[in-house]
Amino acid sequence: MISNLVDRDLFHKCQESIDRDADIREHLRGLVKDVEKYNRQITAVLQGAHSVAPEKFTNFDGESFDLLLQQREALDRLAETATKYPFYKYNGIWSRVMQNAVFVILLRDFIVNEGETITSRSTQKTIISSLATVAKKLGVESDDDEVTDPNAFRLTLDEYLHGTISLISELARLATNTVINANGEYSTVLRINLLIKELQSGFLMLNLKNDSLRTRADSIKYDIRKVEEVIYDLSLRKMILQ
Amino acid sequence: MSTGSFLMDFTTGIADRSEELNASIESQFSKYRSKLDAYHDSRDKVIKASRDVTSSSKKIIFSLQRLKFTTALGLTIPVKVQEEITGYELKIQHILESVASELKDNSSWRYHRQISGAYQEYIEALLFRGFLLNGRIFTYNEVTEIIGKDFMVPETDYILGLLDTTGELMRYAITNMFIKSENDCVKESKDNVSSIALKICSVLRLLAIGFSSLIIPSSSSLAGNEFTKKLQTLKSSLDKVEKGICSRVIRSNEFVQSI
Repeated sequence: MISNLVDRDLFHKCQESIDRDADIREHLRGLVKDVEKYNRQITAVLQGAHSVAPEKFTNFDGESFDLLLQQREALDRLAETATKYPFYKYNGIWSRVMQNAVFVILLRDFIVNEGETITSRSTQKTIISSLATVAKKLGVESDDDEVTDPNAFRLTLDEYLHGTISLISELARLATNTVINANGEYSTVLRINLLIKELQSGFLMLNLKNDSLRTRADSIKYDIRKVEEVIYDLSLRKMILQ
Repeated sequence: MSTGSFLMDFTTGIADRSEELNASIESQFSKYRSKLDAYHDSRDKVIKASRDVTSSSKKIIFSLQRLKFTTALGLTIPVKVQEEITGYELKIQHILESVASELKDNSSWRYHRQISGAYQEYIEALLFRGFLLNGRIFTYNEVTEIIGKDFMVPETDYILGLLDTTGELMRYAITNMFIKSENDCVKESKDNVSSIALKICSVLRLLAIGFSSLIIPSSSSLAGNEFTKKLQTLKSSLDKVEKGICSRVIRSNEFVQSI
């Protein structure tokens, strides 16, 4: 009678399924750590932009490119394993690292483009890569694409938006530092100002719910204010033409 | 993966400004807005469905709790109550179908957190009824068969739902501790304790031992307070049933038979 009350294999099966799941998570976490390593290295390299004049920004191209290559390979390895499982089952494990990867791509883009803009004295508008473009650069699919394999590893819109907000923060800080480092050339601040204002209006278009994205998006206005103050100070002293 | 293709993805990205300019920030974010809106709409739908499923499941459980245990072999449910319960079940299936596109196949894990509680509650109702009617705990496969194999119900929801069921079994055992009528065969019961109470005591004991023996690694999705708390609750439920039976046995001579 005892064995009729409960399936005799119940706990054995439970333990098996728990172990299987835990193993998968461990494995994925390990792969995520590898990508994280490159996140950090690239970020460290790019931090150098806070210490040099904008016309030297193109110097960051080479080293960061090599690191990006390696990050992409690490992402390929993560994607290869992740694709075996339902996408939304484990995607929380890598979402932070993906946000950072987006940030790193966007920041690098800005720095390198800004360097080129200054050295070529171009008047082209600063742009920001879309979700699809960033995904392409990372070597993954994105939420944007028509999903053929629903479990395909991809960059999500949420990760992209978080990465963008991190970029805004970083650019606000970069703006103040280019004033310190620039040799009388303050146009970078103006371009940053325009870009982050445009991004802010983009974020204002979104119908956000009370989640972490909303909280972070709310902080954009402080970054905007920071840059505006720098510009105000510069224009007051006629160091910059608005 | 060659450096060449990587380079191409990059230069295509940076150099092709005209494509980017056309996809201005405004138009990009307008697309993002649509995507986010669609996601939140689906998520809200699932949350609402979850609330409805949970409330109907609880009603099934309450209906079952009200039933008096009258025979040794199992519960026979009066027709009216059976209809009530069937009504709730149909409602639950109907609600789940209404969010099927969010919960089946491709999306199946996306809104899991929003529906998990409802799955657990429904499983709790199914397991509770299953035990009262059939005298045993249904397996994971049996339960997911009833819900529908298309709905992705992970084993963790079964485990947590089962743990919740033990609470209901405890309540039922306490309420139906004593023999209510002559139909409860003397040889099945013991010292005027009903057979169902004894059966529930056995099953709670088995489950407590079994779940205590599970090793939950820290990287598991079960790691954390929920499982530990529910296991604690199971143990205290077992304790209550054992105490109840014990005191009934001790006082079996003092109680008037008609109670």
